[in-house]
Parts: sequence; structure tokens; C-alpha cells
Amino acid sequence: MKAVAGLLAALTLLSGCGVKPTDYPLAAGQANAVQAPLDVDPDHPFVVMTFSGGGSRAAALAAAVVRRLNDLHYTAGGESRALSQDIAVVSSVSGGSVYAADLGLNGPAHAASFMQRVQDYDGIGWLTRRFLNPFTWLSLQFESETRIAVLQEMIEDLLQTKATMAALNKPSGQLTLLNATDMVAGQVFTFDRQTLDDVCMDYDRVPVSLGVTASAAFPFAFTPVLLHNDSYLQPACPGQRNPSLPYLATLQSVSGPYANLESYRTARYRQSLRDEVVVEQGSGDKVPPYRNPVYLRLVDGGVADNSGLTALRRALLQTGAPADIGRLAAQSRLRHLVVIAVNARSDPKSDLDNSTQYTTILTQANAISGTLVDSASSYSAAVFQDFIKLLINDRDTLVLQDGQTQANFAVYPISIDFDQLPNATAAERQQQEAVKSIATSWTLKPGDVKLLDAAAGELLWRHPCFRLLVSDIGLQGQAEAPAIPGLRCPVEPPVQIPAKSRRPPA
Amino acid sequence: MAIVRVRFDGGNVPVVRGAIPPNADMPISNPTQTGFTTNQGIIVAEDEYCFGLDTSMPYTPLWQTVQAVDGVPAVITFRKKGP
Repeated sequence: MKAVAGLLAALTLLSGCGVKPTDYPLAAGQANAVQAPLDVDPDHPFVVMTFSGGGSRAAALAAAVVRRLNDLHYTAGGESRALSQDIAVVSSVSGGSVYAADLGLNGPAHAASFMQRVQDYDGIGWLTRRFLNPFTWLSLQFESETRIAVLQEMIEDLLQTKATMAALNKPSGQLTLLNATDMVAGQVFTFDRQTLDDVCMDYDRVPVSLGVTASAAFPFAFTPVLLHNDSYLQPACPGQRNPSLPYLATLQSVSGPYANLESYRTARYRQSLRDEVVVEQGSGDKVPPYRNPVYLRLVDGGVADNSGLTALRRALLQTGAPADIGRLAAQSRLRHLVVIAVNARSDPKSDLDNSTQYTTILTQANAISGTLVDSASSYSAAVFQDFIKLLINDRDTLVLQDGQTQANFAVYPISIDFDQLPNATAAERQQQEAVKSIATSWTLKPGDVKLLDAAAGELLWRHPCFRLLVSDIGLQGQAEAPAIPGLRCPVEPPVQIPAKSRRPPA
Repeated sequence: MAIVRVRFDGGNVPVVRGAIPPNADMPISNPTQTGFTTNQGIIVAEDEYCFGLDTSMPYTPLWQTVQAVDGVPAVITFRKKGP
């Protein structure tokens, strides 16, 4: 702990005089490839995952869950298939983004190797050595770099890659959403093709490590990632941004902010990223962006939402977007929607609970930042739960009222959260406390990954919605915990289709 | 999550979305394919939308806006134009 505190103090003192923004502008005449709609086989589950923040603890827990999916098989089309092959969308934050990047680059089969790497990797030691190195000080002072550049180097060392985003989010492949927070706008900033196109960046040249670093740039310990928004280059973005991005109608119509305030604010943010003028319907008034972010300061994605659920929900909801589940349902491609939300949230015991000691500003800042992160994440989890319920209602309406039987699908929301570990006995409470006490750090203690791995298996197999999935699609695998008697998955199963409704849509 | 039913008497054709054109005589410029076709209910997020059709068949109106509201299915209708 003292080493971490010392490192934080050293980090705070070290900073460059100037700051060099990161910039990968689209060249003249160049355009980003558009992410193609996900091609989902209805005979395979559509698996979407979120990986929360929490340093190496979060990265290891996410990998441990995916490792389980490698070992779970079902039969489709006469062939045995691992559930991990069906991971279609991953949305991640901070420490979770480290593994999300590894998953996107190396595939699910690499999960066990990644876990070993994270167990062995001393990230705090690496950072400390770099910050004690006089060459680092010179680099910070004379090359206009900031502390965040050092974190990016560590991420590259940990992931052992200098790959660019071209290797991630291939136009027709799995969708990986690395999420940061725009420090000024308070919005989720996702390193996907659409958002980087909005800021006129050449997606394929952006290093994966930059997205991971922005996602994990914990405020105060690290300076924000500073991006130049090339939409504001004069006279305009030199490249050709993709024109058909349907966000404007919300801003053009007087009912936009009333139809969906969150969607309106997201659209307004997007307008500011693209530096576009909106022509209002009716009046014809030209409305400029509400702010002009020539530079974007990106900090840890956990500041806006430490669960990754916000970006996932938006990806699944956006009509015409690659992972739009409305489209998948309408096209008969969706039968089993599996949502696995891996949350490495930790709320270890605090000395403050039993102390009257003076509360320093540092202690307050530390506690409040943790509380705010948890609060924002709880909100996004509640919104996501509502989203699932509304989706189920709409499914029932389509199937029962419209006779669209192809839109009948099952949803399996599976949360992986330490609070769901059993804690009835002293031994169980000790086990729960042990995983919850794993610090949010880039260095783990010996045995931490083993603890997280065991917790991942137990949490997955205890979950009633996972159990339902096992039975519904005939998953074969070694159960790591008994089912909880009498517990059922709280999401309504697919509707029973009455004979009279079994007709194609008119 | 809301349901919008896009009806068209010219059959099942692709539905597109985009920015609201300046007037009723202009189609949606640079439309985005939604992946939906007409004459089916579609699940969308609660929001304001401008929908049109991707077809060589003449139809009217060229576009329509609709406010999608949770739990309240909305209907918009396009019609074939001419004989």
C-alpha cells in the first residue's frame, strides 16, 4: 500500500510543461470502413458481454469467465461448438478493457494464457521503475508528453502488442467497445469505428493501447488522454467521414428532447464531435454545436459508467447499427440473447467505519470518487434491467399481436458479481471477503488469479439464468457449483405461440 | 423500447432512416439502411425518427417522422403513387 501511495505521489509531481495531443487524422480523400451489420446465425446464441473496471482484478475475472465459455459446448447443425465462439459484442471499461483488447486480438482461446500473464505481471513495479528513471523525466519535460504516455507503454508491455485498431473491430467481425469518459462532456466515449469517424480519425491507425489507456486513465493518478478532434481542422476534416449517420432527426425535431432526453444529449454530443450544423425542422434555423471540442480529454471509462452497460445498451439499441437487436429479431436471427455482465466491483472493509480520525481531503476524494463510480454504475445497471424488461414486452407484442413469430427469442441476463457469492457460513464469508479484498491495482498478489478463477466458475454456475441457458441449449460442461433450489431466472421465457398466431406477418 | 409499424401497400421493401429533409418534396439524403422491411413491427429505442423507403416504386410521402414511445406502438403508412 505504501508503495502505491508513493507511486501516486511521484506521479502527481511528474508532469510535462506542454501537452502533445494524440492525432491520427483521416488523410485527404480517405474514408473509414464502415462496421458491417453483425451476421448472426439463429442456431447459435447471440452472446454479448460487459467487463467492468477494477485494474488487474477486473481483467483476470473477465478472462476467467471467458475461459469457462471455452469449456462449454453445445451441438448445432450436427457440430459441437464452444459457447465462447458466439461472443459477438464486448463492452469494457478500464481494467476490463485490458482483457477486452486481448480477447479482440487473440480470441477466447487465449484466456488462460492471459490470466497467467496478469498474475505474473508487476504493473506497479513497471510504472515505478519508469518514473524513477531520469530519462522518463526528460521525456516528460522535453517531448511534451504526460504521465499517460507511460501508462500506454505499460499497457503495450502487458498486452505484448503494438497492434492498431485495424486488428480490432474488423468490418464484419466481433464488436469490441473500449469505453472512456469525456472529462468535459461527461459522456461515454467509445473507441469504435463510428466515434473515431466522428472525430475524423483514421480508425485503422489508432493503437489499440490508446483505447485501453484512455479507458483506464484513472483521474489524478494519470493525466487524461488528450485527443485532437480533427473535425475542427480548417477548413474541415480532410478525409471523408461517413455521411449516413442517423443522429440528426432527434436534434431537428422540437420533440427530440422530450422523446428521449438521454438520446437527445448523446446526439447533441455527437453533433459537437462532428462540428456540424443542424437545420431545425419547420423554422429552418441553423443550430451550431452546443460546444466546440477541438481537444478531447479522456479519462477512465469508470467515471461515467464502470460497468460498460451504457455502451452495450446503445450498441444494441441503435437502429441501423451493427448490433441492433431490433433488426436481428425482425430478420429471425435472434433466438437466444445471452447478456453476461462481469462486474469486479469491490467494496472491502474500510477503516473509516470505526474511526473518528480527521477526514483529509485525500481520503474524501478517494471515498467520494469510489462512491460516484458505484453510483453511476448502479444507475446504468438499473437502466439496463429496464431495457431488458421493455425488450421482453415488445417481443411479446410482436409475437402475440402482430403474429411475428420470428421475433420470439429468449433473454438470459447473467450477472457475475462478488455480492452473489454465498455468505451464509464463516468459511463462505471468508472466501467472499478474500476476492473482494483484491486491490484495484496493476499488480496482483500470488494466488489472486486462482481466487478470481474459482469465484468466476462458482458465480456462473450458481446463476439461475445461466442454468436456464444450460438446459435450453443443452450446454455440456463441468458444473462448478450446485444450482440454488427454487431459484428461477427472473426474465420471462419466450411466449407460447397460439396456433392462430402462427402466420407470417401481413 | 418501442414498436413502430411501418405500413406500405406496395409490398415488403427496405426501410431507411436519416435526417429530416428540408421539405416534403425532397427524399432523405444519405439514408441509412435499418435492416427492416415494411409491413412488420420493428423494435426501436424510444426516440424521434425520420423513416423513408428504399424502393424504385413511386410512393408518398417521401418520408415521415415518428415519435417512438415505450409501450405505445406507433403506426406510419406509406402508399404507392400513381396507377
